[in-house]
Amino acid sequence: MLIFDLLGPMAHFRKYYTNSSSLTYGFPPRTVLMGVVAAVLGYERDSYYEELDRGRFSVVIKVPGRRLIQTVNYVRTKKEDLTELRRLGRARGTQIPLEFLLPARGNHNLCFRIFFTHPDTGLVEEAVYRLRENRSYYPLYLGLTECIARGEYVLLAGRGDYQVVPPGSQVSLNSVLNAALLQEVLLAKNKGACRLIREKAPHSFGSGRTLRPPVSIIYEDRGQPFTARLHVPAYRFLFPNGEEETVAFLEG
Amino acid sequence: MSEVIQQNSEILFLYDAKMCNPNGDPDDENRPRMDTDRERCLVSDVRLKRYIRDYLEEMNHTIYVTKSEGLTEAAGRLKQVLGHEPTGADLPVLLTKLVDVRLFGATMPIKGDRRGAGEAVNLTGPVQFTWGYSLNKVQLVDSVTISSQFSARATARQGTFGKDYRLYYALIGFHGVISARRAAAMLARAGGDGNAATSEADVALLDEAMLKAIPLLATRSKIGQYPRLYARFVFTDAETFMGDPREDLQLNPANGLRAVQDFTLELKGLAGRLDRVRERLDRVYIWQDADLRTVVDGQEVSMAGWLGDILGPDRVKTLGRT
Repeated sequence: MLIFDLLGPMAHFRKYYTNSSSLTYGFPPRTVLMGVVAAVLGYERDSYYEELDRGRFSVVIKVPGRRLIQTVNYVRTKKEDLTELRRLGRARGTQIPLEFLLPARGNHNLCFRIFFTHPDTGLVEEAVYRLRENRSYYPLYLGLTECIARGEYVLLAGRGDYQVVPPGSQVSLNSVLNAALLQEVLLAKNKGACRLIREKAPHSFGSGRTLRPPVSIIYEDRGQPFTARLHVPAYRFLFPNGEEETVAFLEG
Repeated sequence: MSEVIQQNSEILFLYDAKMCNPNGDPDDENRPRMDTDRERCLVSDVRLKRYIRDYLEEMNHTIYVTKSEGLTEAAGRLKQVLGHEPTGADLPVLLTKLVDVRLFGATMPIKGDRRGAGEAVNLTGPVQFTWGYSLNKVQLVDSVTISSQFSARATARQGTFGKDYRLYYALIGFHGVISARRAAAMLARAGGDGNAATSEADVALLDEAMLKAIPLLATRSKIGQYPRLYARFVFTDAETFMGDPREDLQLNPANGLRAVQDFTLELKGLAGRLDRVRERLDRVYIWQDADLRTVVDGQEVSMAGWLGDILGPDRVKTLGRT
């Protein structure tokens, strides 16, 4: 299992159901995680949906974001709007509010920790080599090409690097969670305040970049762990620096 | 013709804005884009690319995302360039003609093979920039109302009032990447036609535009902007990236600035980043404005000189602005 951090000063993970305003998720959805691994390995756009859908992904928000909206001009590509625009004498282009994630106070970069496994071990080893050597095939982004990112290798975790927490146990979860896998949230067991957010996010693409049914994702807004019981096993990692993280995979 | 690029680069670009508005937000009375939490101003990547495109157009290069042809939509622009409706087969010709697409990529509406089928060609260009942000904390000038002799309607007897927001001083940093793999992907899309993918000559043109474009654009809100530092780190291969160098830089002081003379820029933080990739650093192109004072451990040095010390002087190439 490959673990790596994805860092960058800005991010935009567009919500699939927004059109005239581009709003962002607070975390990279699974389709973004696939795209990041595809960029590391050098898969072309639209060429990897089936292959990487066989993988399992999890993501921990290490540095939470704050949201900032900037309006940007997009080029019009449709003829139909132009007559109308000329009549109104409005500026060219179309103005779109674009919501960015920026690192919360005091941090230079957003940081998302990504956990990735795949039945093809050769593929995982290739990704490990490329991240370890700073040799991602294509440049990495946090959602948009102007949100340039950097991958930082953390660990190639073997069987001895984690404990499996059986389904139904109480876990303090660090990762974002596919809501379908949740048994119950144990609010009373949380240390401190907890602000849970639920967002409907893309999970996978079919051929031709068609969106397969999205899933609801639950996460803690400030990147804090939250206590819950799950229908599926969770994985508790102990990192060499003493940090401990418990994650659930988006696929269950 | 010049070779299609084979090596990655990474760019650090600093320019400053004095008593002007580096990038207005069109939906916020054209106030400078701000990250108010950190008191930094922001500049979009498209603002930077607009400077470069305008410069390239001024130098008689044909570009795709143009301003000078008046109101037009993307499909119309492609027709202007080609003289006929674009189809998939025209992609190599379009790429050969349009230098900004070779650099930055584009989404181009091109007719599909099936009748009536619309198709957008998405090309991710090898050159990508982040949004820029100021390395210092910025303050907005208080007085903002201006008047205009032009009225909003032909029948009005008076001019109109408008808002004119300016910053006292911002030193703005951009990070950019140039991916040779993306150039190779473009070459493949263009059927192997070497004129239709990003070349060494295109990147040299980008270097030139980065140094010259901003002072050329002297509209009222943009007077007072000068490039201060440009460094392009070229790697030996098509895969290596070292990451955003802006986070390594430190301004002293970083607050209350009014001019380039008011601070020094500490470079020392860059050393660790360069050290991690030093075997894979082929060369560095650098240009530094004489007014920007760079220091290492508080000692004043030129960035070119300092890079020469740590990488060897033969790997450092100084760019000229004239």
